[in-house]
Amino acid sequence: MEALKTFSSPLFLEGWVAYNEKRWSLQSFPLDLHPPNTELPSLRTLLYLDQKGRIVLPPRVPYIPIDFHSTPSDRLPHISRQWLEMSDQLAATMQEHGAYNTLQLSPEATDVRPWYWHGFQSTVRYTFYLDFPIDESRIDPATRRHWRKAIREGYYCQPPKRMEHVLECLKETEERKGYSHHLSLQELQLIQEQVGETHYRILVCYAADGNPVSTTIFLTQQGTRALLLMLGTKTEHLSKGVTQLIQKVGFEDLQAMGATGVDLIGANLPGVSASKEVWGPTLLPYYTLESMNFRQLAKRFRDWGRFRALGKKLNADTDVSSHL
Amino acid sequence: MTALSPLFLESWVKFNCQRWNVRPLRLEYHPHETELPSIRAICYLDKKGRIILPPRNPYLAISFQPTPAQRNYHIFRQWRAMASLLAAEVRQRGFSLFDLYLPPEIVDVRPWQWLGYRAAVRYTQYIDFPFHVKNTDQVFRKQVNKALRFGCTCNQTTQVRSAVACLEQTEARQNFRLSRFFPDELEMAQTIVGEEYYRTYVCNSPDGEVTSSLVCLHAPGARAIALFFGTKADYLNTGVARLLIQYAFQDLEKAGSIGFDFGGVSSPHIARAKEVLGGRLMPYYSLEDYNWRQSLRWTRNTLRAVLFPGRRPWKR
Repeated sequence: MEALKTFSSPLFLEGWVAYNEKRWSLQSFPLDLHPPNTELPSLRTLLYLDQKGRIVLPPRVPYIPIDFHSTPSDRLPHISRQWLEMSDQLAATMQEHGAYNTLQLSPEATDVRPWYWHGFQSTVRYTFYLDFPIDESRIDPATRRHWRKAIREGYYCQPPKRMEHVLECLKETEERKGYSHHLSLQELQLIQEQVGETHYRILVCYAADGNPVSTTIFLTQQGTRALLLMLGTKTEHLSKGVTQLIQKVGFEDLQAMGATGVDLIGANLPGVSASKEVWGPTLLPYYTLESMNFRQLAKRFRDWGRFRALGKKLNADTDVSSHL
Repeated sequence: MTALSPLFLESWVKFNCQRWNVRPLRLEYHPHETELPSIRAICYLDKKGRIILPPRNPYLAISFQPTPAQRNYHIFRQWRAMASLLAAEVRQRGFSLFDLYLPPEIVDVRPWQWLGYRAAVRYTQYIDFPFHVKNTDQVFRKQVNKALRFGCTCNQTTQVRSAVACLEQTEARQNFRLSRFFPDELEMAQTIVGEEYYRTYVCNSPDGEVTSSLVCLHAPGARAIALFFGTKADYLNTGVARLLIQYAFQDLEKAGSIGFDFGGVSSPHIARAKEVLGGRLMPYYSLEDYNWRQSLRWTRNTLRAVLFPGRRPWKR
């Protein structure tokens, strides 16, 4: 595991892998693919296997990290052929194991054809990449006004005084957006213990009277792109600009720690996307992978049911003829 | 996206309407009464008024133009505002096919996802002009030289029927069968669209036999799109296909194309054949609706994958 420290994503962090193995009873399966006798081209990744040997993407792990290096060349046919060769090996290994749930490849994997050719199905999802140093001119002026307002009103950010504060803030956002992180106090402590405070960064924004109002959690490692894992704000403080303040402080903190940028993870809900795009990030597609089996088929039918309900509502609400 | 795609050509729209018995639906949205931002699209409607992508059309014709020199959150917002109108239009009319393909210029398909479509990725290859032979793979250059030594010559032709044999053989190798009206279709397209825009290139062997042919749609200032490309089986290893590609690129460049789009490189053997040209791989997205026909297809595909693992997995 020692060699993993040179990887390009914090998802390879030893402590993070150990936590996921322990928490979800999985076995990590690091893969380092390269031709015999040479270092390059290389494709490194880390999968998790369940007890039956199937590949699982554990909860709260956003992607399967992909770390691909071609031999030095600027000729596209060359790079593309090497990618197809290496990713074909990975896709073959993954086909052998099969996927238990829906897997997500990190956005670096832009070409997922080898997985198609090995019988996986795929859909597209989106995330935002923000590079450091942040280009101030790309930030929405309204966002700047928001965080200044929060500072004027005496809000301040620091590591949590007590872990309960983190959960309090996350809970209200979960209720508003209708999802759940399924995070308990014990679990939060376990992660921080395993991963370490330097890599699992928690910040809480406090009001002037010392009440926690907003929180954010990053996974970071020097020289890599940090990941924004969670963000939560109490409803009554939303309009005070605390969400913008805590993100700003968080980004500065990550930059000081040596992160090259941050992945804001997830731009797939309209509200979430609108709140993240104000930082001027780049929109990137990433791809999900599903094995074709009866479990996934059942999931499709379930989605169908959900969308039918949604579709009826939308058809009633939208009258497109007025725009013609 | 400054230039429109050749799919916007009026004559191409006319051909689609005559050949496939569809009617065009031209959409244009300018939300703020100003020229920009704007979104333009040409969709086709079948008899029941549902949106359909006629055969031979690789994508819907959609063109989005944001206001110039904006911060990217502005562009995101403009795109979302406009594309959701288009998505709502598609949603309201529905589509009669399994998949609807959006052009590669569209990176963000969330407005459709949010209306309940499933989006999958497919790939095409973009070549940018000017085309430089030095960017291609060695294999490509070797094969071109081989064909030249063999004495092959290329030209643009108006005799579209001469191209048919090559196309039929290639389609047969890929388990497709072209309709018996196919030669008439080519002729009709050339008459309606015009040989300036609907271009047929052929590669002739020294004794005058047509060995390879390429049909593409071109508009000056836009990216040409390949419609058909085929080579006779006997000439597969002689490099004629590569020579023809090179000739077509040079000719299209002269005619004012800004690049070339292969219109799909999603299957393994096509991918291998095209990657030697050194183009950019471009993802494009297909939309799937949830309906009974679609669910039968999922069930069939799942059964096939479970019962016969490893059989033609790329055919989705």
